Formats: sequence, structure tokens, C-alpha cells
Amino acid sequence: VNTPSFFKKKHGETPPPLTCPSCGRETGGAHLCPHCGADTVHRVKEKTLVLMATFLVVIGGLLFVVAEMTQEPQPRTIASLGMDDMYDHVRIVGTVVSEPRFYPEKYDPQSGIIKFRVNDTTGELNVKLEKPVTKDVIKNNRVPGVGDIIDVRGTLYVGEGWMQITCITPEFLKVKERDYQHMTIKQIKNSGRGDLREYALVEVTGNITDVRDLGFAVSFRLTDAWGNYVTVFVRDTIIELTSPTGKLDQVYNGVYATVKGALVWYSRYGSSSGYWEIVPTSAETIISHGPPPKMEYPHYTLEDLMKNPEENEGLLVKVTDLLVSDIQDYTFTIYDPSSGYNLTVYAEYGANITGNISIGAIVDIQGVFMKYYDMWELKVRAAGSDYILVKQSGEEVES
Amino acid sequence: LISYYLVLLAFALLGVAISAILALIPGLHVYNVIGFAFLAYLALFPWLEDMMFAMLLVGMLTGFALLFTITTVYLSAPDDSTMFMVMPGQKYLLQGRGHESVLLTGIGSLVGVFFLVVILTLLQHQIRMIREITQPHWFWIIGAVIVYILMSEFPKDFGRAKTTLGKLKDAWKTLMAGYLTFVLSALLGMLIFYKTTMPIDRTFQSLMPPLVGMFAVPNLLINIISDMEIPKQHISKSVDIRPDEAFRGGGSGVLGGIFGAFMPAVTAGVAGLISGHATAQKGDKPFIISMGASRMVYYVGAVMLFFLPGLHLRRGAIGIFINLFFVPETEEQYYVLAAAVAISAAVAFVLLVLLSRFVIRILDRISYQKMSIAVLFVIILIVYAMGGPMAVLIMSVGAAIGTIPIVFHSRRSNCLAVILVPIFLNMAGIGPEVAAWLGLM
Repeated sequence: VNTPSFFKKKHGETPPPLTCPSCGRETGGAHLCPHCGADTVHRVKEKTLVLMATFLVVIGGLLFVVAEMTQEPQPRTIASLGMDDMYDHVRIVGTVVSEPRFYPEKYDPQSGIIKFRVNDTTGELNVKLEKPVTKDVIKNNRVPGVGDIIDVRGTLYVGEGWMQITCITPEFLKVKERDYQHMTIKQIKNSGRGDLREYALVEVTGNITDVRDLGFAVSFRLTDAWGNYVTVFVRDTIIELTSPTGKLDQVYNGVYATVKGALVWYSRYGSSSGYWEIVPTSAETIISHGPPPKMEYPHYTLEDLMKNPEENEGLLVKVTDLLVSDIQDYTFTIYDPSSGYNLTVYAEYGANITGNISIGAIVDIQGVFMKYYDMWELKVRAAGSDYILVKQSGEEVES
Repeated sequence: LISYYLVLLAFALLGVAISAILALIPGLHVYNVIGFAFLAYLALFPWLEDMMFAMLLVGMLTGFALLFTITTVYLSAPDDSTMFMVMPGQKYLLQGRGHESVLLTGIGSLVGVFFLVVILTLLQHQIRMIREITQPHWFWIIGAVIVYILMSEFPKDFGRAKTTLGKLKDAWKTLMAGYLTFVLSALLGMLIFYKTTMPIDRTFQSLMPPLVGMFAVPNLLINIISDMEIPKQHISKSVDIRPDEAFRGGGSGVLGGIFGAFMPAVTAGVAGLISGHATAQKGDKPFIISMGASRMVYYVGAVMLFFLPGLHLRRGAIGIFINLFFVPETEEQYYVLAAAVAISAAVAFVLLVLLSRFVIRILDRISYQKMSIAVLFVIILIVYAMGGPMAVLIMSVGAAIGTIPIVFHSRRSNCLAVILVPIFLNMAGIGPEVAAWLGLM
């Protein structure tokens, strides 16, 4: 083993040692140990093996560098995904275009699976949030809603005509901060399909009217002071996932509220016509402001209103001591004997009416002066401070 | 991010350090420890990030795959994956070359790690494709493995008898002993799979008593009975190995190990058997190297395949344990795992060299027989602590079955029927029927 270096140089190779490097016994300088049969010359040093092991540390370091490089994969377009990407870990950025569906865990209702569809303008696919993600989004109140822009990573599954990304890590789902654009109900109502961008996030304020429980969803109207309205459609899933109480406690007729959500074009199957409705981002983006703000109803005579009606269109008005001269199917006419003016009155279903309206009755009315097709009318809405007060019934006048 | 990676690496190295201590306890398999570590994690460290705990387990596994060699070589207390190493290991030990034997196994493990972190990483996409192609055929491949184990008893003929009947008896004696071992192991396996033999909270350890009984106890009993003297061990500074032998041994070990890691029901023992058969005719050195490579590739390969993005191949207890709290899915996680495995293996190899020297110094001072008694006592104690008296009873039954191959010179690989047969029957869809027929249901 301890061969002098000059000997190595002279002979060109290491001579056999006198003791076996394997078993430590005398070899007499043989190439093969007579005791254990080990080759005493052609051997690999322990230090060389340790050096080889050290090389693994270098490989490990390089692998850490590769890990860092693959930490944040580039987003893919949905159109570029296909069968070849099956089981790949992919990242996409797109807009949520369907209400989330929730499949709760039997023994842990705060967990389960959430599914929704995402569109990135090149295509659409399903996103499935597994239990850890579901738990996290429910707990932190960040369940993706329609119109949300999300950045999601997960394993891609591809089938015949469908694709799905399954996300199991909470950190791999990012919901872009919501930026709601303020709009009036009238702007939405008067817009056609091409005028607005579907799934745009908007913020609208108005009075809640016509609340309906459809069994699978709650719908209501958000009405402005002039009777314009937009339908708000809230699926039970949204309420279940995002309402702290599991109910829409803040939604009832007459409440003044702000709704933040996505614009969705609603049309019946096969129909070319439709209208914009709002799908709230969550139950908590329906914000109640309590009773409607107190509105001022300046006093007018029929003559004031009807002399130049275009100027008064849309005004909240109060008219007093007028005679009911005629009653039609859904409207009645009031008459001002002093000026000789008539005006049609339309009361919404649920409007605040005190007393029986009959021909000859004397009434005070608060409402909105507006045009209905070619006719001017005074509209008494179910919301706000509109009312009809019958001060004197018709029979008494006749008597 | 770098500090996060360093924290993950620190957890992996902590796992190696833990395995360095545990690997010196004979009969204690890393999976038993991982089971308890998992319970401790849930109860005591729920705040610990999943990936960090996964790295700890991976570090333990990598360290164990390298360091458990020491108890196998010096104490003759193998598990199913090292059982084939006992014979060449003891041969080296009796020549005073235990340290060299340990180093040869270490070389195999290094080859295995090189394969895993370099070749497997480069072949990620192809592995997925291979899975797609082979998956429908797994059922009959497992059947073929069982046939292979049974057929590998042939040819055996130690017959020197003069009569025809005597020759027939000699020819079939070891074969029948092998088949008897296979049948008894299969029956024991069915019992364990279909009856609750362990306390409810430790059922994940139910395979431990029979495996310890079959593979670790018989050797210790033989050591105690034979009163073997271990000669003074020489701490060699070099290893008698040629590159072609290392390549042959490492290559066959890698193939056997990856087959075991990839296929369901094929355990480390079967992987070792396949690797060993590829090198058995080429001498002890490639054989020992193949065992080291096979073992490393089987255990660590299973967890790397589990982390391989888009594959989610859950093999071995480590995959099942990790999957209870963590589902890997990104390329980043895979590369971090591969990096941790590479560095952990390097550290474990250095520890292997140091621990081997340390054990040699102790060996000089203690009688091998007394040490075998002490090791047997420790094993019984561990099994009792894991599963109580029932576990010790099952270990005893396993030991009785595991002694048959030693007495009759048949193959110990037949004992692997304890796992193979129940899983094969379950995959074939007739496991419950057979269990009912055996009166287990």
C-alpha cells in the first residue's frame, strides 16, 4: 500500500502491496490475495467514492436551480391545450363565466369540491377546486365568482370534448383584485348585447323590489327612482358558499342596496332577444343601506305638470285634493276641477295605497311623473315613499 | 425562495440524521418509524408545512436505504430487501471484509441515486407513456412474477442417493420446502390482510411482525445456535471493484429496483431477487452492488415516481403515507425532491463509511453470539411495543416459516408470498372469495 513514489514512476504502475487492502492479511506481493481472493492492485479508493458522492451534491445544487426556474410556469392559452398535455401541470389565466357549483364533503360541510368554468377568450374549460383549496377559499371568503379573473394552476385532464384543471394547492389559485365599474340601472337597461362586455364587473345601486325565491336561486330587481330596473340573480350555491348566515338576510322589498357583480346576458333558449342581468360576486357584495333615502316630493298642481310636461319628466311629485274621474283595468284618472287637467295614474303591484279608490274619491298622490309610450302618467311605485291616500271616498261625494 | 429550499433541504438532512440512528437498530424498518412519525406530525406538528414533513420522510428513506446495510452485514438482521445480501455479506464478514462489503453496497446505492436524479428526471415524459402502455398488463405481470419466484427454485439437485426413490426424494426435498414456504407465507399473508391482528391505531404496521419474523429472526437464531466467531474486521481504504462490475451490478440493480418501484405488489424483496438473478453468475461484487442499487431505486424511486408530475404513481408505504397529507403536482416540487435526494444520498454515503468504521470498533469488543441475542431481544421488544403479544406471536409464526428455507436450503424469496399472493388475489378480484373459503371472513 505504501509504495514509494519513485517506484511508481520507474515501473509505470503500482506494484502489489505486501498486505491485502481488503482483509489486511499478508499477500506476499501477490496480485490476488491468497486468503480472500481480492485483487490487490486494481482498486477504487474510498476517497474516490466520497468524491463521487460529493458530485451528487453538485447535481443536487443544479436541480435546485432547475426547481427555481420551473417555480412559476408560464400561463397557457386554453386553445393550445390538448390530449398531449394530459396530466400536465398547467397554468391558465381567464374569466370565471359560470356560477360555482359546490359539492360539500359529507362530514365537513365547509369543505368539498367547487367547480366552475373559465374562459380566456381562446376557449373554455372546467376548473375543479379540491378540498384543501375549497376549504381555504370558503374560510378566507375568496370563492371565485362570475366575472372574476383568476390565475389557476393544476393538473390537466382531457376527455372527449372537455378539459378540466384540478387545483389542489390553495396557493395555486389567485383571484385578481376586483375592480367594479359604477353603472346606473338606466345605462344597463338601455344597453343592447353589443353595447356592454359580458362578465364585466359592475356596481349598481337601487331599491330592491320583486324578491322571489325560485327554489334553486333568489332573484330580485334593483329599481331606480324612475322605475327602471335590472334583475339580480343569485344562485343558492353562492348564498351557501359566501353568506355567513347561509341566507340573504339583507335582501327584502324596499331596501336600498348596492349590488356588485358581473353582467350576464340572459336570453331564453332559442330566443334572439334578451336583457342584461347581474350575477353578484358573492352574497356579501349585495350591500344593504337600510331603508331608501328620504326623497323630496315637491308639491305640484296638475296644471303645473301638464302645461309643459317634457320639462317635468322624471320628477318626483306630490299632488293633492284631486278627483278620481275614471277607473280603467290597471290605471285610473285624476281630475283637477280648478284647471280642468286630467292625468293617468298607474300604481305598481305592492304600492302603498290607503283607502278604496272609486270614482269621485278625493286623493293625495306621491309618485314619479313620466311618459308611458305617448301618454303622460303618474307612477306610484312599490318602493320609495310613493303612496296614494284616499282622503274622501267617492260615495260620500255623491251623497 | 433560496432560503425556503434550504429549509426543505435541512428537513431532508434531518431525516438522514434520524435514519443514521435508527438504521443501527436491527429489525426496525424505516416504514415502521415513518408510521409513528406521521402520527406525531398530525398530533404535535400540524403547523409544519406539508412539503417540509414530506422532505423529512424522504431524507429518512434515503438515509435508511443506504445505512440499513450496516445491520444487514454486521448483525445479520436483514429486511425483505436485504435478505439476499446476508450470504455474500457474511462471506465478506468472515473474511474480515465487512467494511468493503458495506462500501460495495454503497457504490450500488450511489449508482441508483445517479439513475434516479439524472436518468429518471430526463425520462419523465417516457415514464408516463410506459405507464399508459403497461397499465392494462400489470395483472398478468404480477402473476408472472409469482411464477418466476416458484420456478426459480429449479434446478436443485443435491442428490447422492443410490436408489431411484432416494434420488427423487433428494431432488424434490428443497423444491417442496420452497413451495411449502410459499404456501405457508401466502396463508399468513391472507390472515394479516383479512384479520385485524394489530391494535386499531397501528394497523398500518401489520406487515411488520411477519416480515421481521421471516427475514431478521431466522438469521439471528442461526447466529445464536452456531456461535459464530467474527474475525477482526479490516477497515479497507479501497474497494476491489472494476468499472465493468460496478456497471453490471448497478445496471441490473437499477432495472430490478425500478421494476419494483413501478409495478404494484412487487416489493423490494422481489426487486432484489430479479436484480440478483441478473448478476448471480458474475460473482459476489456485482451481486452486492446490484442489491444496493436495487434497494435504493426501489425505496427512493417509489417516492420520486410519486412526485413525478402527471404520473402520481403511488407505490410503497412512503407514497401512501405522504399522500395522506400532501399531493405533489408541480415540476418544482419534483426537482426539489430530486435535489434533496441527491444531497441526502451524498451525506448518507459519508455517514455509511463513518458508521461502518464505528460498528467495526464495537464488534471487536462484543461476542457475536451475545450481540445476536441482544439484537433478537431488541427486535422482540420493538415488535411487542408496536403490536403487543399478538404481534410477537405473528412474528414467531413468520420466524418459523422463515427458518424453513435456511434448514432446507431453499430460496427465502418464497417468503415474499406473504405480500404478493394477497395483493395478486385482490387485483384478480377473488381475494375476498379465497379469504371466505379460508374462513377469514
